[in-house]
Amino acid sequence: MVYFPSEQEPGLESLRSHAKIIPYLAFFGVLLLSVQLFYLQIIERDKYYALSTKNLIHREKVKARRGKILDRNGKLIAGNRMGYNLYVASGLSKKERLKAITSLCSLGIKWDARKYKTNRSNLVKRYLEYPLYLELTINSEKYPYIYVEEIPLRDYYYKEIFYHPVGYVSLISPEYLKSKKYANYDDNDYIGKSGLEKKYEGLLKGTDGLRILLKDTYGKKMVLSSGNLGSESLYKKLHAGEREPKDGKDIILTLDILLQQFIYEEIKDISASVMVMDVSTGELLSYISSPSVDPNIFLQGIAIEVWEKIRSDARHPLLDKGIENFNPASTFKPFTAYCALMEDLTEERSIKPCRGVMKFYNIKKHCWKRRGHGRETLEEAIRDSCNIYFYQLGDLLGINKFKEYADKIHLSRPSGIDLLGEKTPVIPDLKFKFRNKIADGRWYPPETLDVSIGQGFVSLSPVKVLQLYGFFASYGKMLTPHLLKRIGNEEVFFPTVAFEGGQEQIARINKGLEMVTSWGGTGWRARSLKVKISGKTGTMQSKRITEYFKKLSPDQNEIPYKERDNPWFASFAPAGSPRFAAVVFMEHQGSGAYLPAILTKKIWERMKEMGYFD
Amino acid sequence: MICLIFVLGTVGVLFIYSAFSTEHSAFLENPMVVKQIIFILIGIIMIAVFSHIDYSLYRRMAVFVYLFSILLLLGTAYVFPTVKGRWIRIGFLSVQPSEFAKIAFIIYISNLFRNYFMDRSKGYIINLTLFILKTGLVTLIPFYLVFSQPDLGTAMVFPGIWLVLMIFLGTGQRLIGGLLLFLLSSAGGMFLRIAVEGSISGIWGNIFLGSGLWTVLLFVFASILLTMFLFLLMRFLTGSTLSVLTVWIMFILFFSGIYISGAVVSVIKPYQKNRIRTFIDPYSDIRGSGWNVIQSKISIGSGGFSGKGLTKGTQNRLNFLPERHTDFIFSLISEEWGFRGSLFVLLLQGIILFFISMTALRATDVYGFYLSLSILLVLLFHTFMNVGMNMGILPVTGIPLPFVSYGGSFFISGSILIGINLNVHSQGATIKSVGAYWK
Repeated sequence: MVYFPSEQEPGLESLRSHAKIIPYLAFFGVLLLSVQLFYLQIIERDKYYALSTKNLIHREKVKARRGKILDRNGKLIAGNRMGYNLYVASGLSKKERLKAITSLCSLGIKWDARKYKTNRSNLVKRYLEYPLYLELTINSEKYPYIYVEEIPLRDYYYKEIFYHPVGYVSLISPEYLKSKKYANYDDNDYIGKSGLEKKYEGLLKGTDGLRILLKDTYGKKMVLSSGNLGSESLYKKLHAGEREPKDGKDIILTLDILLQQFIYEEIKDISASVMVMDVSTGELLSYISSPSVDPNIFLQGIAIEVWEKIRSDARHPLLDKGIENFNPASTFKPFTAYCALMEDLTEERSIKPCRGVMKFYNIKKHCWKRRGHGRETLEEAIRDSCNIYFYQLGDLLGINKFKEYADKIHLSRPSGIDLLGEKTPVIPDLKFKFRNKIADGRWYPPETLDVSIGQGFVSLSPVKVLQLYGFFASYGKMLTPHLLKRIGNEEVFFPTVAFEGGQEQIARINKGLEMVTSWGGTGWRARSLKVKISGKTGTMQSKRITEYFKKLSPDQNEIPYKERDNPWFASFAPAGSPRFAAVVFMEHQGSGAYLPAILTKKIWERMKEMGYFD
Repeated sequence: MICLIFVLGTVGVLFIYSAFSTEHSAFLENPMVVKQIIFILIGIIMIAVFSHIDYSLYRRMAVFVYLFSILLLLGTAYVFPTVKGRWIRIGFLSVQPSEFAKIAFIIYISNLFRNYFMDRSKGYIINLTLFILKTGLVTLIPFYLVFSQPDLGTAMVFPGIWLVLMIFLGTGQRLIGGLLLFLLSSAGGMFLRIAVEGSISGIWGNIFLGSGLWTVLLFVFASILLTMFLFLLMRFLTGSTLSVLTVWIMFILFFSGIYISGAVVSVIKPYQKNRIRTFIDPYSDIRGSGWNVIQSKISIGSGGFSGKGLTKGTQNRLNFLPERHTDFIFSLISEEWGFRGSLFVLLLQGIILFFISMTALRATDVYGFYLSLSILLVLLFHTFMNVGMNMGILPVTGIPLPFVSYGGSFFISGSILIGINLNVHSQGATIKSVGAYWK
């Protein structure tokens, strides 16, 4: 059906000649688009591919679990629990931020919205209380734009009891994060700040893993799977970039929780250091420095009033007294005896009986017993802790001999305990004052007398004294006291140095030490019917004893706290064939024959009950 | 031709399925897919039907069809309940009247141009200005109605067709050239204004971008100065014969275009302004209106040569690609089928366009010529705007890709246009006789 004549209408040709350009136009249009397509898809493909991958990837750090710390029987000392951090989501508009603030307010949490950063999630509160966490997770739709993230936290189950050996962790400070050494830490990480937590940080920390999550355009996160991604090859490629976290190694300590607990309960209010060591291996069954603080308080940032209280405490709760240096007092006398025996000076005819006072170099030196001990053998002198006897031995030996024997049996070196900050023992020699620029730098013979009874310039830490008594108990082995028993299932060995010779001499000293706890010995309070204990008392003077003071002989309780004597009691048991050594050091608690001796007895009896001597 | 449409439609269906593959795993479970398949079938029936209706018939009813479509648009705007202002509901179907208006507009304006051309070739003297004003009005009514829906993309089709048909009017080049200069300069001015908005302020900002007396004076003065300069330059350098008046009118048109653009900028909606701004610099608002362009480019680019595989595009699955079953379906195809697939789709579109342009050349009467030229323009405009927008070389306007994007109204109206074009083709001259013009 044709309405118009089929011949061409006039003028159509001119139109056609115009229109010849039209197919070209269509062609060029498509060509232009194809060129742009080629440019995008072939030339710039890699750039856009990287962008598309970047779009959907959300990298997330998977925190490695910090290694647990267990006692020698496998009981947990420090473990991990879940902590909850509250965040405000990133990339919120002003309106959404307002909603976030509203929901925070309804939870009763303050937040400074001016600190809001759009490009990352904003931490509002750490250590959310558990009820709040439950509320937030159960009714999450009620609280838009805020969310909770779980992070592992350290938990110290025995609070104060293990503060000094185990130490504590706290949030890593921003200054640390800047340095390269802490590159694998982030601002949610905890780091060991003292004790074994610091010493074995590398073992405990582990290596964080990396998890890749998919996120869609709304920021919703999904598990990385080929199903969610829709592509097997891309999944494999992304999955290869993931890393499993390597958990920190568990460490098993030589400590015994029950013993530690028992001892700590006894001395928690006084400033003291108590250690018990296995003299065959050097394992420390107990390591206490009291008073102590709860390491859990450092985790969440410490309240200022609590901190002030700790800081102003005269008993120095934060100080680990086990590795601090003190005058060993009379507990040093066995070492003087050892030197003298090795030099074969004990049978010298020049040694005079104790009359309570004796003149050396024109200076009157007193024995602690005013009436004197009379003539005594070495063993008796140890039993009675006779100052005059040991003054004479010291005088015969001369200061350099002390140093010589200390060097020989490694007494002048740090014990090697696996704690940081151990003080080097001080055993003076003739040049000591000169080297340390003390007074005129010259050594005077009367100063040797002080050293021979453990006063004056000699100073040892409790752990060093323990080591010395371990030396006597093991008949000439210098053990390394240590706290680490195993790393995972790997046994750890610490060096033990055995010294040939001197065994008979040590036997004589041990005989004297055994007599200390006999009736009439200075340590009779430590005498126990259950365990035969060898030991030695000691009383470190806090203040120079003046004649006036001596006459007054006041009760210790009437002297100001700071001026009271520091008592020692070093011991090992069972006498004869010792298996464990212990040292008790207290600050400002009077004579070593009292509290430390009683505590030592309690410890040994307790250990007997616990079956350590079976 | 039907085959081409069918193939394109099938590709579209495949990718509509892919776009929702995370929600509906089975192919036919997806309501969108089923709907689109039905649309394709209807579309093909429409092609068959309209290719058998003589296109000369449309000439007689052109006015009525046009008026009816305007009424429909008016109804959409003021009477009928609508969806988003674009669709009206008839039972369970929602129909887009602007698509129907496109067909009606093509039929009517082709007739107007044909009448003008025939009258002129018969020797009647007709006022060109009056004609331009008349056709301009005919264009402006549907433009305004669709624009206020608001659907700028579809609305732009009307003036687009009108302008190009003007070029093929065969007369009044100078007037039409001036008009084009005016329109282009106003469009350019609009872009410029939006681009510098906020960066220039104070007195100079007021003078350059404002609409007061000072601005007018500045533009007049500048046009005179520039005219003198250019005129002298051309006179001495090239010996041009253009009169001073012509050059001056050119500049006046140019500056008034820029001046008018200020009014345009103040009229258009903020979101449209944003689209233009992000077209100039997508990264100015990454999370906001620039997001679509950036993600679309990433989708296309990351596809590479062979693509990520159907339903395996990450931009698709994780929702980074917006509107991926309609306006951005080309990006989706590019991502999952890569360069191969998207070039294939482009080629198919190119073949269709080429076929239509050949039809225009072969048409045996002026009406057929204008008709198929307009059809070509509609499809070219859609393809070009859509793909250009996907690749970030044109601003984002909500224009679907013909025969591929999801959407019944556009598929069916496109099919009708193809059907009409097939009828023009079947009545056209043989290839041989066209060959004479095709040297």
